[in-house]
Amino acid sequence: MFETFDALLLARIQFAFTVSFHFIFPAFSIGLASYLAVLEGLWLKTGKAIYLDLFRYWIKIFAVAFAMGVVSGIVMSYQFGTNWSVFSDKAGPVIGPLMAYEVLTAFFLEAGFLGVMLFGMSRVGKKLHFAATCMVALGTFVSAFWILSVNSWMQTPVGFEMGANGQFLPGPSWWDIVFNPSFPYRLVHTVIAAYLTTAFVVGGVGAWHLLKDASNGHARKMFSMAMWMAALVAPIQIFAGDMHGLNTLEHQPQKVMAMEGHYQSHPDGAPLILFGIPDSAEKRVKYAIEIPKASSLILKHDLNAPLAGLDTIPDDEEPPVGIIFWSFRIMVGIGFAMLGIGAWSLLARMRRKLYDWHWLHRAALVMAPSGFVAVIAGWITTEVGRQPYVIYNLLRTSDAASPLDAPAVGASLAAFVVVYFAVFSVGTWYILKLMSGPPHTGEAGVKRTEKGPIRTAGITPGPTQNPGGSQPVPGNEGEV
Amino acid sequence: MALKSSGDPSGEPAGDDAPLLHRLAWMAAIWLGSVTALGIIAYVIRAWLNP
Repeated sequence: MFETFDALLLARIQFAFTVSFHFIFPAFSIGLASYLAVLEGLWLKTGKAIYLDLFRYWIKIFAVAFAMGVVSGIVMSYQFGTNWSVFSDKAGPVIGPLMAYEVLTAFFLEAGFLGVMLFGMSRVGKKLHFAATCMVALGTFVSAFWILSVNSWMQTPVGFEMGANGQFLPGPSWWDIVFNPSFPYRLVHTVIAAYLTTAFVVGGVGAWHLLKDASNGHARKMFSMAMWMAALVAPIQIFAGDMHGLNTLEHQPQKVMAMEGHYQSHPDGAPLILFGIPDSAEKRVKYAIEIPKASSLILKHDLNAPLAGLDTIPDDEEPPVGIIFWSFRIMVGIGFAMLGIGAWSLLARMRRKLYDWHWLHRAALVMAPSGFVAVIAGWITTEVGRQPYVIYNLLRTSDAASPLDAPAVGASLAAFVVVYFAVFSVGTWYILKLMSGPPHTGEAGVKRTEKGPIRTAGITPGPTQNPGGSQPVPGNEGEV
Repeated sequence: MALKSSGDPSGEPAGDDAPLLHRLAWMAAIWLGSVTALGIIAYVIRAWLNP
């Protein structure tokens, strides 16, 4: 079935498919873990039950998203061995330990304390439970730290020595490898992106329930918290993205050339091409709408600064311009839309209309999945922009793949597509189902228990439920 | 295993009334169970990909 396909292309499609699918979940769980820690901390500090209700509302969603993130992540790391064994062999001495730290973090901080977080409140008490929640939040961050360090090293490899057998070996200092030149920028940009992604999901869910019932205090609280994040963090993210771009220009100039659509060099100031259709055959951007000299101003802070174009790069080292050009614009466009929502919410807040402006709620609802689109677009920009190399300027992607025939890679790709869509569709559907229920007083946690004797068999009536009520529900407090 | 439900009527979960050592033991047990569960899942996926 796959005999006529190129094995390398199939392996690249498989990695792109699985990593894109995977990153949706950590992009959400990194931010949501911190949000849960904030909610539980506020509950312990203020004693207000609304924070515990919101904690219980979101922890169920977190549990499902986290599980899907971990499972899809395990597949990712195994894929290095199945489809990219040459890369693993050559780069293993450098990236292996870093990835091992990530796995240890995922196992012992995230997954370990997740059990306490989900099922342990009535066993360990409030303060130890809060400590477990903080460990999970810390674990998601540390996990991201190591993975982004590995990825950044592949983008800006330093601190290594070449072995006689062609392997990348660690040099005298691991710190040079871990804190490689692009890592701090990528870490900040990615983690903030995860926080914004979560904020817009929380904001979208809050907006959805405000549109149905503007008096819902729990929906108001989550919407307000999310809009504070949008207003305060979106500008920081745009600044962080700009700094990341300048770092990329220094270390991976052809990626920026592709992002900007600069096929030609501009010795007297380069234009900022807002939109157009890149044509790599003709080496130009058709129907370009551009602002003269603005690209030089952004990238060099000088209107007349010269900027080199892709004409200075050999054709076989050019990344695919069209994909990068558009994915970059999608990411930036969403970033500015987030900034707009944040500013709009500030205006509404100043006029005491945050919970009354339905068009703001509708816009926030539409923007709910925008963070996911932005992070995927951002990763496409940076990963495709590194091509044709897997380790920048040192190891070509075509030289990194396992010596497999196309049918072998194609069969596993087909299996991944079928399994991922089946499993993750169900998971995503369940998350949306959980989100569709309004947050309310006496929110049920992950597990419910009843007061009274323990029933061990037979058909038993369920515990009392109070889905939309405003009063606490006795007997509804067993577990978080 | 019996699961105690010891919250108060305000909806707040309890558990703080148990001795600290007892609660720490529970924390360690749940933590270990969670890590073991993930280990089993990881091993199953590994066996599936590389039988």
